[in-house]
Amino acid sequence: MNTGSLTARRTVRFRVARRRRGERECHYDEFDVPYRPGMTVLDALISIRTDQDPGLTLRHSCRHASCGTCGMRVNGRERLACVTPVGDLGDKVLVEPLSGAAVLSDLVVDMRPFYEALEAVGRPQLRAVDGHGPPDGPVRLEDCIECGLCTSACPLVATDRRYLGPAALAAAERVVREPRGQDPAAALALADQEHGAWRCHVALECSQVCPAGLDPAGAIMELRRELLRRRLGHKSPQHEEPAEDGRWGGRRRGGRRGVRGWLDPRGRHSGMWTFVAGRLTGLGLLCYLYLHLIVLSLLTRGPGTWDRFIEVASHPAFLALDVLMIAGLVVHGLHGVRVALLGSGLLTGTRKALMITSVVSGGLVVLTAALFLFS
Amino acid sequence: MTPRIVIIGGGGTGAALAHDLALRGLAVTLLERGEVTSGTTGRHHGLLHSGGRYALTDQRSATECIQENRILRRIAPGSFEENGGLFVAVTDEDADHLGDFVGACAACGIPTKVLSREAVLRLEPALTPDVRVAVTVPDATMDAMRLPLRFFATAVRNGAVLRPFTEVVGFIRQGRWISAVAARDHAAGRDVVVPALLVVNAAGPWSGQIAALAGARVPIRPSPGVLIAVRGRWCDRVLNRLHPPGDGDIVLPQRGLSIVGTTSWTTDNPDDTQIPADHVEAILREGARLVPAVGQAPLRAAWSAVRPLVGSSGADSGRTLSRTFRCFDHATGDGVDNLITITGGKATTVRAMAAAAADLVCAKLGVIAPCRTAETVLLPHTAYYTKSAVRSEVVA
Repeated sequence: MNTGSLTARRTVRFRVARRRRGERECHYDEFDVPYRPGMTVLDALISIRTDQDPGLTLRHSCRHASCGTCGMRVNGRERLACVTPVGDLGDKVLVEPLSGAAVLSDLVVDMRPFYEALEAVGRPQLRAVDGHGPPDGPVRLEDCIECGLCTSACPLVATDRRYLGPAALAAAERVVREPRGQDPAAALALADQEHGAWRCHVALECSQVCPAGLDPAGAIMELRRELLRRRLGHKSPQHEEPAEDGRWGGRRRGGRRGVRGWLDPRGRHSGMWTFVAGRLTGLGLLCYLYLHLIVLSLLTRGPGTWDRFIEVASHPAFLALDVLMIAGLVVHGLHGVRVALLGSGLLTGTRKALMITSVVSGGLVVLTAALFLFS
Repeated sequence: MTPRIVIIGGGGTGAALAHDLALRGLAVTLLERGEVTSGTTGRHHGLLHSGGRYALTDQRSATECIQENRILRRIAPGSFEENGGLFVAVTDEDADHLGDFVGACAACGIPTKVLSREAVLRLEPALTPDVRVAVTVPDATMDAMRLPLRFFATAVRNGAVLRPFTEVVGFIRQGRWISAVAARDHAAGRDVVVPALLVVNAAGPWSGQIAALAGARVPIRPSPGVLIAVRGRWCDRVLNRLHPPGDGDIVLPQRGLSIVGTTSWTTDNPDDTQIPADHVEAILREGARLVPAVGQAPLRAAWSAVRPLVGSSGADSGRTLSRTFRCFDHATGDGVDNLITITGGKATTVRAMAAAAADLVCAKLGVIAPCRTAETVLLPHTAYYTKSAVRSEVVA
């Protein structure tokens, strides 16, 4: 919103990612924008285009979070520019294109792979207002506005270019729940493969960033539950692999952040933190395993060497490292249990309680271990 | 490069026109300064008019609306919430209009049914308990961006070339003839020259500025209006106040939101998107007279859109200007032989606008090709992204 007051008392510095068509690398340009009460990030970008640089390219259309075209990363977090007030962002704002898609120019990304995945799922635009009501009852457009924020925020999309992604999987879940003439078995078959519903690692960022308030992560868990149910009791749906080059209809998904997508914590939530912790502790424990083998190999050098090591191992600094190792083990173990539970469609309604229980019980275990080691 | 028909403006009108001309087998290139649908088109309510809103005051526009309403449902299945609309009387004064309104609708071919207070509250329980009586009309709602995307996608399938982020900066003339359009390709950061056989100005509220680049004039009155979106889907049908069109007298659903609009004034600068401070309050207040919950619901967004109304300068709020469309041939009066302007109209009537403009294009080029858009089902909106060659076109 852009109210009429022209009392520009402060300016906000916008740092905007720029890239012309065909350029390989982006650079950043800075613009000072006079602040107006109620100004949105989209208002600011359009004022940059009107008053400072007519060459700035971006997508926008409806201006009320209904078309989904103005998705971008604002200070690292996926947002719709049209409903993001500048007033909430401080005096410096970093604006970058969505990740998980190739950049065409400036803030414009290639949505083709995203829409190819949606087309493959085949979810209709219209649904019944009340799924149980009369077939000729009122209808409504699907709530998903196809903005791609979820895909950009997903750490798995960042590293697995064959992953179907949260939006398409959530659409598949809609077809399963309310087919409307589509084939739920086909949607399930699409979800039932390594790079489908099973690939999700429960970072839950998709649901955190969804501007329509939807829960794609929950939908993925629902799909898994349905797939498990069919595996156990019913005929298994036909297995389908994506095209050989890992593309959903023929185009490479560019603009991925790679491992940076795992470790970039800006604007992220608890699910993402546990995802990062799970990966870091995994690496740490792997290192510990080999270190452990090296230490054991000291035994072959005779009792003197071993005694000297035991001396070192009794030092408080070494004990502190032991506590760190135990903490890593506990974090990794609890994260694994949580992912296994949620990933199998269990306890999905109590994600928050599960998280709190994990943190509290993990903390207690580590504390007990520390007391034991130092006593 | 062979000169093509160049359409300026990637809104609903340009979309429908590119589709119409491509379907007639003509070579079309469309230039849009930003992303397609980033002007007026994307920002409207998402209302597929039955024509009821104009039945009493603007019969020509009302008749166009009901005809196009029927055609669009046929050629764009799956794009509309076909839940109908209601004209609701909330005061005795409103209710006095009932007879006239039903009669005017009948005269324009708009089917109606009168509903009692009890019947209408059963359909839409969030309506104000003050409702006296209501009339059903075949309104519907849509996604303001995705319907034009279906036109664009189908146009591209039939050979049209779309060039978003390409801003027209001038015309290259040979006497009375435009031989090419000079433009800036912002995505690539370079200037381009697009050879033109004929130019159609479909720039909506910006069409006056585009015509001026060719030394031509269009009597356009940019008329902004404010719309707001509140959280919550408070109704499934389009709710109109049963009185002459005014401010804040429409409430309609859009996914999980409700849209309330509009206000109306006139301006000279179509890029002016300021929202007069008192308009949001006024809309909420009036909207709440139809659906009380709207006045309490959290605000999601407020924005303005600029209508491209046709009328002489100096008109008042814009409410009295007709919503019908006009096609101008600039060969007469302005001395530009191959420039036409199509403007005015509504999102509901873009196909008819395109048909009229395309007929004129064909007449000027001496091409005999009938309009086929009323019978051609459009590709789904996803095809705009998955099938289009939008990004690959490079012009020297």
